[in-house]
Amino acid sequence: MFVRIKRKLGGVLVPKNKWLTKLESIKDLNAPGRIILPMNMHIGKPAKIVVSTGQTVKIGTLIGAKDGMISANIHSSVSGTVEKIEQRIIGVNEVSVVVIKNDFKDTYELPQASSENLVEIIKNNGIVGMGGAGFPTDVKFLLKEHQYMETLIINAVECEPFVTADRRIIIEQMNDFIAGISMLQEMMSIKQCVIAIESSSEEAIRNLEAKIDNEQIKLKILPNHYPQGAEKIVIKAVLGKELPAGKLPIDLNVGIMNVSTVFATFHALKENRPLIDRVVTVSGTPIKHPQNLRVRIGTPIENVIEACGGFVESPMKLINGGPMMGKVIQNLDEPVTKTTSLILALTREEANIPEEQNCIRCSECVNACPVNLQPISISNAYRAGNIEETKRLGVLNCIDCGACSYICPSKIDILGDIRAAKQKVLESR
Amino acid sequence: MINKEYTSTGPFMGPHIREKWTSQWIMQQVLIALVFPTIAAVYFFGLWSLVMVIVSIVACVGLEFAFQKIVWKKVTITDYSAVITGWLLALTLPVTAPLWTLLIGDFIAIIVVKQLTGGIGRNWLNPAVAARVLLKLFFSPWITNWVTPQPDVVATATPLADLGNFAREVSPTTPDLVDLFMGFGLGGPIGETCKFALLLSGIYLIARKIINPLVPVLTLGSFYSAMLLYSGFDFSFANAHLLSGALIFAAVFMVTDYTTSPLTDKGKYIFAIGCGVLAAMLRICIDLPGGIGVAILVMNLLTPLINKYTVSRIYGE
Ligand code: SF4
Ligand code: SF4
Repeated sequence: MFVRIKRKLGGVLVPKNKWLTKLESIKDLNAPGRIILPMNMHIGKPAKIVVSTGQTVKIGTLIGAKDGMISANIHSSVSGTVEKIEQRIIGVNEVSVVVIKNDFKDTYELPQASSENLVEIIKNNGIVGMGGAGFPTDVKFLLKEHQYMETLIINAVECEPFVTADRRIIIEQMNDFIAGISMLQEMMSIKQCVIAIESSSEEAIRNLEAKIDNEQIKLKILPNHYPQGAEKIVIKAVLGKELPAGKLPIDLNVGIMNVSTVFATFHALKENRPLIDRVVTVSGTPIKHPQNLRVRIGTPIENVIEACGGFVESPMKLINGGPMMGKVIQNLDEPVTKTTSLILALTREEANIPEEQNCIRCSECVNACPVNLQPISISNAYRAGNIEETKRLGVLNCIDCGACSYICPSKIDILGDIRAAKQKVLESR
Repeated sequence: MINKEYTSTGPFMGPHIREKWTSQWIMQQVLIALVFPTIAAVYFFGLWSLVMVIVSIVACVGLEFAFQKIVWKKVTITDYSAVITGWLLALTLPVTAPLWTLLIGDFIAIIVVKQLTGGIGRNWLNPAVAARVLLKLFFSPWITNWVTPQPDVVATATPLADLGNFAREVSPTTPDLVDLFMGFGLGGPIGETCKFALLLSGIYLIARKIINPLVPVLTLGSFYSAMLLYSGFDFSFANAHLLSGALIFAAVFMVTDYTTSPLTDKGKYIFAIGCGVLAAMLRICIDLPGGIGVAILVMNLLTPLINKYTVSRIYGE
């Protein structure tokens, strides 16, 4: 009861398994023969394809154009020719993808002449939140008249098991990291920056402590449990403020960015460099050599697995993201996208979910919920068909962290019910 | 050749991993905890205690199985909860209770209280407690025929009989504290007389993180405080009450029941204090050994209300 759950904080203690890759320094993965660019690498409206089949492109050529307010530009990460434009099913959605054949010449083209307006530069370079949600970064910095950004939180928590990409970046590119933060701080005249980091990232913390001499950048070390890195939970841990459902951090005068996004933004502002690659942790016991790789966006996962020596045993599941919130990779020719921080392979034993049993009302899901919901009550109400009740129980406040399903000794898919209930509530609006 | 074989399996959305523990494991821990008072029962009341326990378990499991077969429900006897109910109930009866009273109790617990209200996780009342209280109401002569432990099996009153009835101090016939604690020469239900064994059970369950330690502590603490207040801080009176009757047994095994106590920690603490205080009041006002049972039932019925008023504030609301 007390080992599995940090009572006051909510959340659960998940075996983190970071040791697999936390000492692996980042290696560059060679560009693949083909890249696949889905137009929905961000939340919001998919980008609009602006190239045609047969067209030659360079690194940095605009492939998909931001379409509407919440959307983002997509650039080619290789030089070559557009081979195919087609519809594919990736995950649960059918999406337009552009397949580009690499000519391995690596010729560059910088995106649109750089502008004076910094938010414009971020937008042109297609920067989105690289932690998982893929929220367009320019929108975060596009403030309405009465808004200002008082605090910028750098989310370096990485609470999902296995992933070590961000801590490696911090360790290996400390100077750029600090420079990036300072640049953002100046650009938005932000009063204070706080780097939130999980206590298990010892090396990164040591390096940061030695390096930060700037009064305005603070380090906040957070406990090592899940989902400490979820946006709402980080904001609460750092500022003591709570973000109401449906509100954005900026409504609290807060900006929040993860480590990779800070880098991408920094490079965009400094060199006018579009978001064309990212660091991905490839991990899990079935992977022969788990490691951290800098991968061109659009690289098929097959190439990434190959670079890690393949599988020692066929995994039961490959996951894009962490074992708690990641999504199953259905096919090895799915690409690495802007939001892929981890490619995880799980063995049958690890990923096996036993059959559901009756709830014994142990309350562990209630204790685990970081936003203080009563997951079991919501699940019960949903299964009884009472959608109104799920709404009253605050189903829309659920952050999809899965702590409740993880902890349940009866293996009830509580989050599954909650997602379905949420869907119903949103539909009924 | 590198191996790249992979076909996706399982649900698309996470979480893709689960904590290793299972409901069965939790129930097994409770079963292990029940071994301590059972050993004490056999030691003090003879092998017949063991027979009672086994009969009761078999009856409960059998009843649950039969009922679920008859109404075409999924059979859930593998979750061990019926085993626990049967075992608990047997431990609350004296060694002289005829087996048929035990079987009636099992029927009430499993069929009436548990299955007819929806099965595990849905019953309002604690099956073992409800069965025990009903047996006490309707079959009193048979199941309150207390005996002191062997070898000289003689009918006797439980120590509580000397303490009830608005008594404010310990009567001369009340056994001393060591006897009360260890169960030497005490009459009473087979599993409840040896407080030492119950203490071991409690420690085991706490160490295994099955129960929240504050729950039994608050139950006993609030009971003890109420007794102290009532007796004008007569410690020997409160001590004797604390160590008599089913109180400690109930505090360890019944107030901590998951299904029939509130969901949140706060609710559980209120529930525990309620049980303690009510039990004290019942013991003082109506000469009722087993008052803790009634107290638990009352609090069981209040649980939905407690749940309603102890909902934690949702983040951001
Ligand atoms: S749903 Fe699972 S975790 Fe929640 S109370 Fe029931 S058994 Fe416990
Ligand atoms: S209800 Fe939602 S927020 Fe709460 S633990 Fe479950 S998934 Fe996480």
